[in-house]
Amino acid sequence: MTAVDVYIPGTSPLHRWDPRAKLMVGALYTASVLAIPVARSWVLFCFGALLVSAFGASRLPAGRVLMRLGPVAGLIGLAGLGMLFEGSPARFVSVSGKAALCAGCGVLMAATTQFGAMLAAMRSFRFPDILTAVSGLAHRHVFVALDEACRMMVAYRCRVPQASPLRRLRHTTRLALALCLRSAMRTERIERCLLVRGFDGVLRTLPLTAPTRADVVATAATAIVCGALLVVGYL
Amino acid sequence: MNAIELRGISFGYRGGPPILRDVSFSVAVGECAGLIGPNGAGKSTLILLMNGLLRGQGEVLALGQSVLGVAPRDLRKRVGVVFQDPDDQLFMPNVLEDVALGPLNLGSSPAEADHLARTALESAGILYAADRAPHRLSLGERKRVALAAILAMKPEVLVLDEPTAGLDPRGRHEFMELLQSFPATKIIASHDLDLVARVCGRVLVLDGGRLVAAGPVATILSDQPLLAAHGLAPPLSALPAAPAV
Repeated sequence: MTAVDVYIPGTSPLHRWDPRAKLMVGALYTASVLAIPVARSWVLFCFGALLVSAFGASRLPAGRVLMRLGPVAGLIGLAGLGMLFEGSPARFVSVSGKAALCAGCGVLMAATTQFGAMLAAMRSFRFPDILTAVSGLAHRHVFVALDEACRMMVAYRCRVPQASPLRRLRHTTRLALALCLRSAMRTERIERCLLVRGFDGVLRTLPLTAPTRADVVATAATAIVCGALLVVGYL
Repeated sequence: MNAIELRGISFGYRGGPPILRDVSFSVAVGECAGLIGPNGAGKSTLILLMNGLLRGQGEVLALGQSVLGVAPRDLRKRVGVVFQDPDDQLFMPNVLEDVALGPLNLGSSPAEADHLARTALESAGILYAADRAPHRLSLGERKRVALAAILAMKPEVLVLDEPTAGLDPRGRHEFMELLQSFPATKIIASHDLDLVARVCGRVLVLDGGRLVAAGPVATILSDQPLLAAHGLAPPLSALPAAPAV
Protein backbone atom coordinates (compact mmCIF):
# COMPACT_ATOMS: atom_id res chain seq x y z
CA MET A 1 0.00 0.00 0.00
CA THR A 2 3.02 2.25 0.14
CA ALA A 3 2.68 2.72 -3.64
CA VAL A 4 -0.20 5.16 -3.11
CA ASP A 5 1.59 7.04 -0.35
CA VAL A 6 2.58 10.51 -1.58
CA TYR A 7 5.54 10.77 0.80
CA ILE A 8 8.86 9.59 -0.62
CA PRO A 9 11.31 8.87 2.24
CA GLY A 10 14.66 10.62 2.07
CA THR A 11 17.30 12.54 4.00
CA SER A 12 17.67 15.63 1.79
CA PRO A 13 17.67 19.14 3.28
CA LEU A 14 14.08 19.51 2.11
CA HIS A 15 13.06 16.36 3.96
CA ARG A 16 14.70 17.71 7.11
CA TRP A 17 13.25 21.20 6.78
CA ASP A 18 10.77 22.07 9.53
CA PRO A 19 7.22 21.25 8.31
CA ARG A 20 5.87 24.59 9.65
CA ALA A 21 8.43 26.41 7.55
CA LYS A 22 7.56 24.30 4.52
CA LEU A 23 3.86 24.99 4.97
CA MET A 24 4.50 28.72 5.32
CA VAL A 25 6.90 28.92 2.37
CA GLY A 26 4.58 26.75 0.25
CA ALA A 27 1.65 29.08 0.94
CA LEU A 28 3.77 32.15 0.23
CA TYR A 29 5.14 30.66 -3.00
CA THR A 30 1.67 29.71 -4.24
CA ALA A 31 0.21 33.13 -3.37
CA SER A 32 3.13 34.91 -5.08
CA VAL A 33 2.80 32.80 -8.24
CA LEU A 34 -0.94 33.41 -8.42
CA ALA A 35 -0.47 37.14 -7.93
CA ILE A 36 1.83 37.61 -10.96
CA PRO A 37 -0.01 39.67 -13.62
CA VAL A 38 -0.63 38.10 -17.04
CA ALA A 39 1.54 40.73 -18.73
CA ARG A 40 4.55 39.70 -16.62
CA SER A 41 4.30 35.95 -17.17
CA TRP A 42 8.05 35.75 -17.80
CA VAL A 43 8.51 36.09 -14.00
CA LEU A 44 6.89 32.67 -13.74
CA PHE A 45 10.03 31.22 -15.33
CA CYS A 46 12.03 32.56 -12.37
CA PHE A 47 9.55 30.92 -10.01
CA GLY A 48 9.95 27.78 -12.11
CA ALA A 49 13.73 27.92 -11.73
CA LEU A 50 13.31 28.25 -7.97
CA LEU A 51 11.03 25.21 -7.92
CA VAL A 52 13.37 23.15 -10.11
CA SER A 53 16.30 23.96 -7.82
CA ALA A 54 14.19 22.89 -4.84
CA PHE A 55 13.38 19.62 -6.63
CA GLY A 56 17.10 19.16 -7.23
CA ALA A 57 17.86 19.73 -3.56
CA SER A 58 15.16 17.24 -2.55
CA ARG A 59 16.92 14.41 -4.46
CA LEU A 60 13.51 12.93 -5.36
CA PRO A 61 13.46 10.37 -8.20
CA ALA A 62 12.63 12.36 -11.36
CA GLY A 63 10.42 9.64 -12.85
CA ARG A 64 8.06 9.55 -9.87
CA VAL A 65 7.88 13.33 -9.71
CA LEU A 66 7.03 13.63 -13.43
CA MET A 67 4.38 10.93 -13.05
CA ARG A 68 2.75 12.91 -10.27
CA LEU A 69 2.85 16.08 -12.32
CA GLY A 70 0.99 14.25 -15.11
CA PRO A 71 -2.49 15.42 -14.04
CA VAL A 72 -1.31 19.03 -14.52
CA ALA A 73 -1.16 18.32 -18.25
CA GLY A 74 -4.94 17.91 -18.10
CA LEU A 75 -5.29 21.34 -16.47
CA ILE A 76 -3.09 22.88 -19.12
CA GLY A 77 -5.21 21.21 -21.79
CA LEU A 78 -8.32 22.72 -20.22
CA ALA A 79 -6.70 26.14 -20.17
CA GLY A 80 -5.84 25.71 -23.87
CA LEU A 81 -9.43 24.73 -24.60
CA GLY A 82 -10.64 27.87 -22.83
CA MET A 83 -8.41 29.91 -25.11
CA LEU A 84 -10.48 28.77 -28.12
CA PHE A 85 -13.51 30.62 -26.77
CA GLU A 86 -12.05 33.54 -24.92
CA GLY A 87 -8.60 34.71 -24.00
CA SER A 88 -5.20 35.05 -25.58
CA PRO A 89 -1.92 33.12 -25.84
CA ALA A 90 -0.52 35.27 -23.00
CA ARG A 91 -3.40 34.27 -20.72
CA PHE A 92 -2.89 30.64 -21.70
CA VAL A 93 0.80 30.81 -20.77
CA SER A 94 -0.09 32.52 -17.48
CA VAL A 95 -2.84 30.07 -16.47
CA SER A 96 -0.96 26.94 -17.49
CA GLY A 97 2.30 28.17 -15.94
CA LYS A 98 0.62 29.02 -12.65
CA ALA A 99 -1.21 25.67 -12.60
CA ALA A 100 2.04 23.78 -13.22
CA LEU A 101 4.00 25.73 -10.58
CA CYS A 102 1.32 25.41 -7.88
CA ALA A 103 0.92 21.70 -8.57
CA GLY A 104 4.69 21.27 -8.54
CA CYS A 105 4.94 23.04 -5.20
CA GLY A 106 2.21 20.77 -3.78
CA VAL A 107 3.92 17.64 -5.11
CA LEU A 108 7.26 18.71 -3.64
CA MET A 109 5.78 19.44 -0.22
CA ALA A 110 3.80 16.19 -0.10
CA ALA A 111 6.75 14.11 -1.30
CA THR A 112 9.17 15.50 1.27
CA THR A 113 6.90 15.85 4.32
CA GLN A 114 5.30 13.02 6.26
CA PHE A 115 1.57 13.51 6.55
CA GLY A 116 1.76 13.44 10.35
CA ALA A 117 4.32 16.24 10.37
CA MET A 118 2.16 18.26 7.98
CA LEU A 119 -0.84 17.83 10.29
CA ALA A 120 1.27 18.90 13.27
CA ALA A 121 2.33 21.99 11.31
CA MET A 122 -1.31 22.75 10.51
CA ARG A 123 -2.20 22.39 14.18
CA SER A 124 0.57 24.78 15.18
CA PHE A 125 -0.94 27.32 12.76
CA ARG A 126 -4.28 26.89 14.58
CA PHE A 127 -6.09 25.01 11.83
CA PRO A 128 -9.38 23.71 13.33
CA ASP A 129 -8.88 20.59 15.49
CA ILE A 130 -11.76 18.80 13.84
CA LEU A 131 -10.12 19.25 10.41
CA THR A 132 -6.70 17.94 11.47
CA ALA A 133 -8.16 15.07 13.56
CA VAL A 134 -10.48 13.87 10.80
CA SER A 135 -7.73 14.25 8.17
CA GLY A 136 -5.34 12.19 10.31
CA LEU A 137 -7.83 9.38 10.90
CA ALA A 138 -8.95 9.41 7.25
CA HIS A 139 -5.36 9.31 5.96
CA ARG A 140 -4.53 6.31 8.13
CA HIS A 141 -7.66 4.38 7.21
CA VAL A 142 -7.53 5.12 3.50
CA PHE A 143 -4.55 2.75 3.41
CA VAL A 144 -6.37 0.10 5.45
CA ALA A 145 -9.45 0.32 3.17
CA LEU A 146 -7.29 0.24 0.03
CA ASP A 147 -5.45 -2.81 1.31
CA GLU A 148 -8.78 -4.52 1.98
CA ALA A 149 -10.13 -3.53 -1.46
CA CYS A 150 -7.01 -4.92 -3.19
CA ARG A 151 -7.32 -8.22 -1.35
CA MET A 152 -11.01 -8.45 -2.26
CA MET A 153 -10.22 -7.75 -5.93
CA VAL A 154 -7.50 -10.42 -6.01
CA ALA A 155 -9.87 -12.97 -4.43
CA TYR A 156 -12.57 -11.95 -6.92
CA ARG A 157 -10.24 -12.38 -9.93
CA CYS A 158 -9.26 -15.84 -8.66
CA ARG A 159 -12.90 -16.86 -8.65
CA VAL A 160 -14.07 -14.96 -11.74
CA PRO A 161 -11.21 -14.89 -14.25
CA GLN A 162 -13.51 -13.89 -17.14
CA ALA A 163 -16.81 -12.04 -17.21
CA SER A 164 -18.72 -9.67 -19.47
CA PRO A 165 -18.26 -5.97 -18.67
CA LEU A 166 -21.84 -5.76 -17.38
CA ARG A 167 -21.37 -8.74 -15.07
CA ARG A 168 -18.05 -7.36 -13.89
CA LEU A 169 -19.70 -4.02 -13.12
CA ARG A 170 -22.41 -5.80 -11.11
CA HIS A 171 -19.81 -7.74 -9.15
CA THR A 172 -17.68 -4.65 -8.56
CA THR A 173 -20.71 -2.83 -7.17
CA ARG A 174 -21.31 -5.70 -4.75
CA LEU A 175 -17.66 -5.69 -3.75
CA ALA A 176 -17.89 -1.96 -3.07
CA LEU A 177 -20.97 -2.52 -0.89
CA ALA A 178 -19.18 -5.30 1.00
CA LEU A 179 -16.23 -2.98 1.51
CA CYS A 180 -18.56 -0.28 2.91
CA LEU A 181 -20.08 -2.83 5.32
CA ARG A 182 -16.64 -3.98 6.44
CA SER A 183 -15.57 -0.38 6.93
CA ALA A 184 -18.65 0.25 9.08
CA MET A 185 -17.76 -2.76 11.25
CA ARG A 186 -14.18 -1.57 11.46
CA THR A 187 -15.42 1.84 12.60
CA GLU A 188 -17.03 0.17 15.60
CA ARG A 189 -13.76 -1.61 16.45
CA ILE A 190 -11.76 1.59 16.03
CA GLU A 191 -14.12 3.39 18.41
CA ARG A 192 -13.44 0.71 21.04
CA CYS A 193 -9.70 1.04 20.51
CA LEU A 194 -9.95 4.80 20.93
CA LEU A 195 -11.94 4.40 24.16
CA VAL A 196 -9.43 1.88 25.54
CA ARG A 197 -6.74 4.52 25.11
CA GLY A 198 -8.64 7.14 27.07
CA PHE A 199 -10.08 9.07 24.08
CA ASP A 200 -12.56 11.69 25.27
CA GLY A 201 -13.33 13.54 22.06
CA VAL A 202 -10.03 15.41 21.71
CA LEU A 203 -7.25 13.92 19.58
CA ARG A 204 -4.13 14.99 21.49
CA THR A 205 -0.77 15.00 19.77
CA LEU A 206 2.86 15.72 20.56
CA PRO A 207 4.09 19.25 19.77
CA LEU A 208 6.74 19.78 17.10
CA THR A 209 10.29 20.54 18.20
CA ALA A 210 11.55 24.12 17.84
CA PRO A 211 12.87 25.01 14.36
CA THR A 212 16.65 25.11 14.00
CA ARG A 213 18.61 28.20 12.93
CA ALA A 214 19.11 26.61 9.49
CA ASP A 215 15.31 26.22 9.18
CA VAL A 216 14.80 29.89 10.01
CA VAL A 217 17.51 31.07 7.60
CA ALA A 218 16.20 28.88 4.74
CA THR A 219 12.64 30.08 5.35
CA ALA A 220 13.67 33.72 5.43
CA ALA A 221 15.79 33.35 2.28
CA THR A 222 12.98 31.67 0.33
CA ALA A 223 10.48 34.26 1.54
CA ILE A 224 12.80 37.09 0.43
CA VAL A 225 13.26 35.51 -3.04
CA CYS A 226 9.48 35.03 -3.46
CA GLY A 227 8.84 38.58 -2.28
CA ALA A 228 11.49 39.98 -4.64
CA LEU A 229 10.04 38.09 -7.62
CA LEU A 230 6.59 39.39 -6.72
CA VAL A 231 7.89 42.95 -6.65
CA VAL A 232 9.60 42.41 -10.03
CA GLY A 233 6.26 41.15 -11.36
CA TYR A 234 4.60 44.46 -10.49
CA LEU A 235 7.40 46.86 -11.41
CA MET B 1 -5.44 -9.51 45.85
CA ASN B 2 -7.11 -10.24 42.52
CA ALA B 3 -6.18 -8.17 39.50
CA ILE B 4 -9.38 -9.17 37.71
CA GLU B 5 -12.40 -10.89 39.16
CA LEU B 6 -15.57 -11.86 37.32
CA ARG B 7 -18.65 -12.76 39.32
CA GLY B 8 -21.54 -14.45 37.50
CA ILE B 9 -21.09 -12.57 34.23
CA SER B 10 -23.77 -13.08 31.59
CA PHE B 11 -24.00 -11.11 28.38
CA GLY B 12 -25.84 -11.10 25.07
CA TYR B 13 -26.22 -8.48 22.34
CA ARG B 14 -29.73 -7.05 22.04
CA GLY B 15 -32.00 -9.45 20.16
CA GLY B 16 -29.26 -12.10 19.92
CA PRO B 17 -28.56 -15.31 21.81
CA PRO B 18 -26.57 -15.15 25.06
CA ILE B 19 -22.83 -15.01 24.44
CA LEU B 20 -21.64 -15.45 28.02
CA ARG B 21 -23.49 -17.38 30.71
CA ASP B 22 -22.65 -17.10 34.37
CA VAL B 23 -18.88 -16.86 33.97
CA SER B 24 -16.90 -16.50 37.19
CA PHE B 25 -13.15 -16.57 37.69
CA SER B 26 -10.36 -14.48 39.08
CA VAL B 27 -6.78 -13.72 38.09
CA ALA B 28 -4.34 -12.80 40.85
CA VAL B 29 -1.95 -9.86 40.68
CA GLY B 30 1.21 -10.85 38.79
CA GLU B 31 -0.39 -13.97 37.34
CA CYS B 32 -0.49 -14.78 33.62
CA ALA B 33 -3.71 -16.54 32.59
CA GLY B 34 -4.55 -17.98 29.19
CA LEU B 35 -8.13 -17.78 27.94
CA ILE B 36 -8.70 -20.48 25.35
CA GLY B 37 -11.69 -21.83 23.49
CA PRO B 38 -13.08 -22.40 20.00
CA ASN B 39 -14.27 -19.60 17.69
CA GLY B 40 -17.40 -17.93 19.06
CA ALA B 41 -16.70 -19.09 22.63
CA GLY B 42 -17.00 -15.51 23.91
CA LYS B 43 -13.33 -14.72 24.56
CA SER B 44 -13.28 -11.33 22.81
CA THR B 45 -16.58 -10.31 24.42
CA LEU B 46 -15.16 -11.19 27.82
CA ILE B 47 -12.17 -8.93 27.13
CA LEU B 48 -14.47 -6.01 26.31
CA LEU B 49 -16.35 -6.59 29.58
CA MET B 50 -13.09 -6.55 31.57
CA ASN B 51 -12.34 -3.07 30.28
CA GLY B 52 -15.88 -1.76 30.87
CA LEU B 53 -16.48 -1.35 27.12
CA LEU B 54 -19.52 -3.62 27.41
CA ARG B 55 -21.87 -4.02 30.32
CA GLY B 56 -23.42 -7.34 31.23
CA GLN B 57 -25.14 -8.94 34.18
CA GLY B 58 -22.94 -9.79 37.14
CA GLU B 59 -19.90 -7.93 38.37
CA VAL B 60 -16.41 -7.29 36.98
CA LEU B 61 -13.81 -6.14 39.50
CA ALA B 62 -10.49 -4.64 38.44
CA LEU B 63 -8.00 -4.50 41.32
CA GLY B 64 -10.82 -4.88 43.81
CA GLN B 65 -13.14 -2.20 42.40
CA SER B 66 -16.15 -2.65 40.12
CA VAL B 67 -15.30 -1.46 36.60
CA LEU B 68 -18.62 0.39 36.50
CA GLY B 69 -17.72 2.38 39.61
CA VAL B 70 -14.35 3.59 38.33
CA ALA B 71 -13.92 6.69 36.14
CA PRO B 72 -13.12 5.60 32.54
CA ARG B 73 -9.71 7.32 32.65
CA ASP B 74 -8.72 5.43 35.84
CA LEU B 75 -10.01 2.17 34.42
CA ARG B 76 -7.86 2.58 31.27
CA LYS B 77 -4.84 3.04 33.54
CA ARG B 78 -5.64 -0.19 35.34
CA VAL B 79 -6.61 -2.46 32.45
CA GLY B 80 -4.95 -2.14 29.03
CA VAL B 81 -6.33 -4.09 26.09
CA VAL B 82 -4.31 -4.99 22.99
CA PHE B 83 -6.74 -5.87 20.21
CA GLN B 84 -6.30 -8.60 17.62
CA ASP B 85 -6.06 -6.41 14.52
CA PRO B 86 -3.41 -3.69 14.90
CA ASP B 87 -4.99 -1.79 11.99
CA ASP B 88 -7.95 -1.05 14.26
CA GLN B 89 -5.68 0.24 16.98
CA LEU B 90 -3.17 2.37 15.11
CA PHE B 91 -4.85 5.49 13.84
CA MET B 92 -2.30 8.28 13.98
CA PRO B 93 -0.17 9.22 10.96
CA ASN B 94 3.08 8.15 12.64
CA VAL B 95 4.14 5.57 15.19
CA LEU B 96 5.45 7.89 17.92
CA GLU B 97 2.31 10.03 17.89
CA ASP B 98 0.20 6.90 18.02
CA VAL B 99 1.97 5.50 21.06
CA ALA B 100 1.92 8.91 22.79
CA LEU B 101 -1.84 9.25 22.30
CA GLY B 102 -2.72 7.09 25.34
CA PRO B 103 -0.45 8.90 27.85
CA LEU B 104 -1.62 12.30 26.53
CA ASN B 105 -5.24 11.24 27.02
CA LEU B 106 -4.43 10.12 30.56
CA GLY B 107 -3.14 13.58 31.42
CA SER B 108 0.63 13.31 30.83
CA SER B 109 2.45 16.43 29.67
CA PRO B 110 3.76 16.32 26.06
CA ALA B 111 7.35 15.82 27.29
CA GLU B 112 6.28 13.04 29.64
CA ALA B 113 4.14 11.40 26.93
CA ASP B 114 7.07 11.55 24.50
CA HIS B 115 9.32 9.85 27.08
CA LEU B 116 6.71 7.19 27.93
CA ALA B 117 6.11 6.50 24.23
CA ARG B 118 9.81 6.12 23.45
CA THR B 119 10.35 3.87 26.49
CA ALA B 120 7.39 1.67 25.50
CA LEU B 121 8.59 1.48 21.89
CA GLU B 122 12.03 0.49 23.13
CA SER B 123 10.70 -2.22 25.42
CA ALA B 124 8.62 -3.57 22.52
CA GLY B 125 11.76 -3.53 20.35
CA ILE B 126 10.33 -1.14 17.75
CA LEU B 127 11.85 2.25 18.63
CA TYR B 128 13.60 2.31 15.23
CA ALA B 129 10.18 2.83 13.58
CA ALA B 130 9.15 5.79 15.75
CA ASP B 131 8.96 8.24 12.84
CA ARG B 132 7.42 5.89 10.31
CA ALA B 133 3.80 5.76 9.18
CA PRO B 134 1.96 2.61 10.42
CA HIS B 135 1.10 1.50 6.86
CA ARG B 136 4.84 1.25 6.12
CA LEU B 137 5.29 -1.46 8.79
CA SER B 138 4.92 -5.24 8.54
CA LEU B 139 2.17 -7.00 10.50
CA GLY B 140 4.68 -8.10 13.15
CA GLU B 141 5.92 -4.54 13.56
CA ARG B 142 2.37 -3.17 13.74
CA LYS B 143 1.59 -5.73 16.45
CA ARG B 144 4.59 -4.54 18.43
CA VAL B 145 3.50 -0.92 18.03
CA ALA B 146 -0.04 -1.83 19.19
CA LEU B 147 1.49 -3.47 22.27
CA ALA B 148 3.75 -0.45 22.90
CA ALA B 149 0.71 1.84 22.60
CA ILE B 150 -0.86 0.09 25.57
CA LEU B 151 2.41 -0.35 27.53
CA ALA B 152 2.93 3.42 27.33
CA MET B 153 -0.21 3.82 29.45
CA LYS B 154 1.46 1.68 32.15
CA PRO B 155 -1.55 -0.57 32.83
CA GLU B 156 -1.52 -2.82 35.85
CA VAL B 157 -3.32 -5.56 33.93
CA LEU B 158 -2.49 -6.34 30.32
CA VAL B 159 -5.21 -8.09 28.32
CA LEU B 160 -4.25 -9.39 24.88
CA ASP B 161 -6.60 -10.71 22.21
CA GLU B 162 -4.91 -13.20 19.86
CA PRO B 163 -1.49 -11.51 20.10
CA THR B 164 0.30 -13.93 17.75
CA ALA B 165 -2.44 -14.34 15.12
CA GLY B 166 -1.06 -13.92 11.60
CA LEU B 167 2.60 -13.81 12.60
CA ASP B 168 5.26 -15.96 10.94
CA PRO B 169 7.14 -18.49 13.17
CA ARG B 170 10.03 -16.11 13.89
CA GLY B 171 7.69 -13.19 14.61
CA ARG B 172 5.61 -15.46 16.83
CA HIS B 173 8.66 -16.65 18.73
CA GLU B 174 9.91 -13.08 19.24
CA PHE B 175 6.48 -11.92 20.39
CA MET B 176 6.30 -14.76 22.92
CA GLU B 177 9.68 -13.73 24.34
CA LEU B 178 8.52 -10.14 24.50
CA LEU B 179 5.38 -11.10 26.44
CA GLN B 180 7.40 -13.25 28.82
CA SER B 181 9.60 -10.26 29.64
CA PHE B 182 6.70 -8.15 30.99
CA PRO B 183 6.10 -8.66 34.69
CA ALA B 184 2.53 -7.19 34.72
CA THR B 185 -0.58 -9.30 35.23
CA LYS B 186 -1.50 -10.74 31.84
CA ILE B 187 -4.63 -12.30 30.44
CA ILE B 188 -4.08 -13.76 26.98
CA ALA B 189 -6.99 -14.88 24.82
CA SER B 190 -5.60 -17.09 22.10
CA HIS B 191 -5.93 -20.13 19.90
CA ASP B 192 -2.16 -20.39 19.95
CA LEU B 193 -1.73 -23.05 22.63
CA ASP B 194 2.04 -22.99 22.23
CA LEU B 195 1.96 -19.38 23.33
CA VAL B 196 -0.30 -20.23 26.26
CA ALA B 197 1.92 -23.18 27.26
CA ARG B 198 5.01 -21.01 27.18
CA VAL B 199 3.80 -17.77 28.73
CA CYS B 200 0.85 -18.59 31.00
CA GLY B 201 0.73 -20.31 34.38
CA ARG B 202 -2.99 -21.07 34.37
CA VAL B 203 -5.56 -21.76 31.68
CA LEU B 204 -9.28 -20.98 31.51
CA VAL B 205 -11.30 -22.88 28.90
CA LEU B 206 -14.35 -21.12 27.55
CA ASP B 207 -16.92 -22.80 25.27
CA GLY B 208 -20.46 -21.81 24.35
CA GLY B 209 -20.21 -18.80 26.65
CA ARG B 210 -19.45 -20.92 29.73
CA LEU B 211 -16.26 -21.50 31.65
CA VAL B 212 -15.85 -25.26 31.21
CA ALA B 213 -12.44 -25.82 32.81
CA ALA B 214 -9.71 -23.99 34.66
CA GLY B 215 -6.39 -25.16 36.03
CA PRO B 216 -2.62 -25.19 35.67
CA VAL B 217 -1.29 -25.15 32.11
CA ALA B 218 0.31 -28.59 32.37
CA THR B 219 -2.92 -30.21 33.55
CA ILE B 220 -5.30 -28.59 31.05
CA LEU B 221 -3.11 -28.74 27.96
CA SER B 222 -2.27 -32.39 28.50
CA ASP B 223 -5.94 -33.34 28.85
CA GLN B 224 -6.52 -34.35 25.24
CA PRO B 225 -10.17 -35.48 25.67
CA LEU B 226 -11.01 -32.11 27.26
CA LEU B 227 -9.29 -30.18 24.46
CA ALA B 228 -10.90 -32.31 21.75
CA ALA B 229 -14.35 -31.88 23.30
CA HIS B 230 -14.01 -28.12 23.00
CA GLY B 231 -12.57 -27.87 19.51
CA LEU B 232 -8.95 -27.49 20.60
CA ALA B 233 -5.80 -29.46 19.90
CA PRO B 234 -2.75 -29.91 22.16
CA PRO B 235 0.11 -27.51 21.49
CA LEU B 236 2.71 -28.65 18.96
CA SER B 237 5.35 -28.50 21.68
CA ALA B 238 3.42 -31.21 23.59
CA LEU B 239 3.32 -33.62 20.63
CA PRO B 240 5.95 -36.39 20.39
CA ALA B 241 8.78 -35.59 17.97
CA ALA B 242 8.50 -37.15 14.49
CA PRO B 243 10.86 -40.12 13.95
CA ALA B 244 14.00 -39.28 12.02
CA VAL B 245 13.89 -40.37 8.37
